[in-house]
Amino acid sequence: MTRNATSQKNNTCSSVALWAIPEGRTVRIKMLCRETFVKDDSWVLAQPRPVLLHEKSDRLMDKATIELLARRAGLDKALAEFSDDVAAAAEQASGAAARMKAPTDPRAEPWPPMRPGAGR
Amino acid sequence: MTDLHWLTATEAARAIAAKELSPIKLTTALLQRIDRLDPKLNAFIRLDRDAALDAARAAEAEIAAGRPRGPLHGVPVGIKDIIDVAGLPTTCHSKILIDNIAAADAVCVSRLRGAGAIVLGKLSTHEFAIGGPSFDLPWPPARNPWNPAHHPGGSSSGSGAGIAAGLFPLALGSDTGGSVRNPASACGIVGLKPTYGLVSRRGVFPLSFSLDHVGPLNRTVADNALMLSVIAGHDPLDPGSAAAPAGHYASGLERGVRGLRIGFIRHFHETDMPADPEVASALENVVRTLQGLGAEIRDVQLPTLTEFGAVNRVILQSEAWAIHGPWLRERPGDYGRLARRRLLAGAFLSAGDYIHASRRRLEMIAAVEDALQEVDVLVCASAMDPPSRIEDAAETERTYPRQARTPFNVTGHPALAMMAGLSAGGLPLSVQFVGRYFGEATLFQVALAWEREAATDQAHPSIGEN
Repeated sequence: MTRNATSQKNNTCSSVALWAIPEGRTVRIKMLCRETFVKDDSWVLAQPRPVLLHEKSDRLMDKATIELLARRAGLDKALAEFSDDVAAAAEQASGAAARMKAPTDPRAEPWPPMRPGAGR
Repeated sequence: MTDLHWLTATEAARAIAAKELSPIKLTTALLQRIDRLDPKLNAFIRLDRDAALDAARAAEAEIAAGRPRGPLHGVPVGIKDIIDVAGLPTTCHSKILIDNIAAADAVCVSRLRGAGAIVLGKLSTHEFAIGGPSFDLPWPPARNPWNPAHHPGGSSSGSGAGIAAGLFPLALGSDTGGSVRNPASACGIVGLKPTYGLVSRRGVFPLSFSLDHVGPLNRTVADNALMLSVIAGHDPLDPGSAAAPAGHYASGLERGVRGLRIGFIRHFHETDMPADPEVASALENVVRTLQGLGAEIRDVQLPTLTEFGAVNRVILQSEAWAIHGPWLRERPGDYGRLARRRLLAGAFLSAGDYIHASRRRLEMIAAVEDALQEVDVLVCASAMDPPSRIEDAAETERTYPRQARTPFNVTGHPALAMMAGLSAGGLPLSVQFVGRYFGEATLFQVALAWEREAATDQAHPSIGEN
């Protein structure tokens, strides 16, 4: 592990993607959100700055960081009983988020989520 | 007369209306076939035999008295077990909802009953329409009638298996990432994901609010069109329901394809996810056949399957997490392993990821809309491989995501999957047609032209026949 997200306070980043791999090995995280990860197990909003969602910075995250995220989501029971499934879920989520391209226009709207015939 | 179990819904309804066929005789014949075959196929979670026979007797009396209810009077239907049928459990094939009794029919079920259809019972699904095939649930997974050692597709597994096996001619499924079209592809039948909002989702357990569609599965294009005509229509209490009026899809099917412009999305199966050679060959045959019937074929380029899949997954898992979070926190052990893994993923996605996916979705909609300005219909792969062996988890895990169905959940365009041929191993191969918003009638027109030419409606598995 070259860098550990849990040790970096107030590090602004741009969205979260996780690569969870088996115990004892490093897990890589890409951050793509305007959120800050801090050591006290919580996510707090960073001070606003003009960060586009497609800005990326790579981070590394170990098993402990996955556990922190899972605990934050209230998944203590799942972590205790099905830790492999939690890790696999983190890997799925990270892979999907990382494969998305950024919108071509930074002003692109997300709304409406679905309205056939009115989507453009 | 054709064996009763191979009668299409259109044929059965016509014969019943003409008093040439008794609904009781038809329902009894299908119940006997279910008794014989379903122990091998597991299409049903719950067979509602007594209610079905009561409904058949009522239908017979109404028809005898000259009070026809509608175009499906006396015709049996199976319902995927994420869709409410009043008085029956909606379990979603899960221990989580094992005692969840539905208080009322879902709107789509209510419309089928209003048209005279007879509800046979509730059908197997992947757990919560996402986790399967699974062997760690309260019920076993459905199996493929073409070869029970193979997966029938999912998540509307029982719907696909039961239609292909001749257990019923009408079935309801749901499609969030391809779950109507996958079993249609794997079982060699016809499955439609209608335009988003055309069929009400009220009374259907959600997987992903903005990706969920309810659709019909049948053995023929004409039956699919007839069933859509019954279940489509605006529902003011479904916030996703479209205001556009439903059509009469069963008429005008036979206009053929002469003069239609059909866009072939080759890159889906040639470069994005290179298909099994038999699948690629079957797709070329479909396109060549349509060209021979007078259609103009053009190549079309869309965003890659990888990106469509990623957007679909981020939206699906984010929305599904909002639904399942409380149970995943309190009762993770009550899910099967596959559903638990897939549903937990939403906990690791951020609001930013979801918004990002939603923004890309609108750009993808624009890309498909642009393509459909130039052509009338798109044709592409559905599944990239023949159905996997159901007990080979590695093969299923490898082949299950190799599909081109999720793009049209992301965009909401109507998409129909059907048989394109049979593999050398005797398993169905498939093709997918995609239309403009509310352009289901044109989809049926193209699909019927292919069905007529290839006689796909005459291809039935031989399970239990010997």
